[in-house]
Amino acid sequence: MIWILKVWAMIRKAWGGLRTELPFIILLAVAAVGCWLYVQARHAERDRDDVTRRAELVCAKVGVDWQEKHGRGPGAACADRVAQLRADREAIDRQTAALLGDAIARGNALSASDAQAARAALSRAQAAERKMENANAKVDATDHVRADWIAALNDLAGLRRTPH
Amino acid sequence: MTLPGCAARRTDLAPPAPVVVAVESPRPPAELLACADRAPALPEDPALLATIPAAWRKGLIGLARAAGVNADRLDRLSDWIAPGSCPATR
Repeated sequence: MIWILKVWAMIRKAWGGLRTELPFIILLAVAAVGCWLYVQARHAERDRDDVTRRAELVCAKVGVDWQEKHGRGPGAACADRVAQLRADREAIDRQTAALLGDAIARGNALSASDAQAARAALSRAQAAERKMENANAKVDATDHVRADWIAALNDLAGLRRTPH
Repeated sequence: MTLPGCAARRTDLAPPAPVVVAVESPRPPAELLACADRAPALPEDPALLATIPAAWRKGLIGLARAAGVNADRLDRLSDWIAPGSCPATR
């Protein structure tokens, strides 16, 4: 227990000494706060310059000077251009998608109608082929060709029959 | 170079609205898109008679078949490129 009293006595003695130096201590504290504020300010300046440089880079990329005169201050013209570019891009994407959709729909419609035409042509050709075979088989014995053989030939070639 | 009085008035900030243009594949000349030329049919007169040997008949049938297939194909092609231009014939 005695050592605690001894320490207490030392603290009191030191405090007594410090009280006489109080103005100097306060000066030291104020100086320390000043230094700290100075360092903070330098950091803030450095960060601000860094951000400005990046903004200038971005603006240069979209072709507008960061300092371009504008009612809302530096960077506003640049922001307007960026907004315009984005709006343009979205409009282009929308129009492209619409065009692609139309093209696909048109292609599908063409394929469908052509498939129908192809089926019709094939069935006509097959019918004409059968008719031709039958007509030709009848002619084989004599080689005498008559109207039915000629009619089958007309069908096979898809010739134009003039309306009577 | 901008005149000082015009410095604050930017004219290039409102570019024309973007226009997406679809580029169609080139269209063949009109003469290639004409519908198939179908000759008038041979007369189917019961009074007529001809003697044609089998070898010639075979050739004639081949000719007719080729003409029919080509005409159908050309009609389909024209209809594909210019829909409705050659409606189903025959």
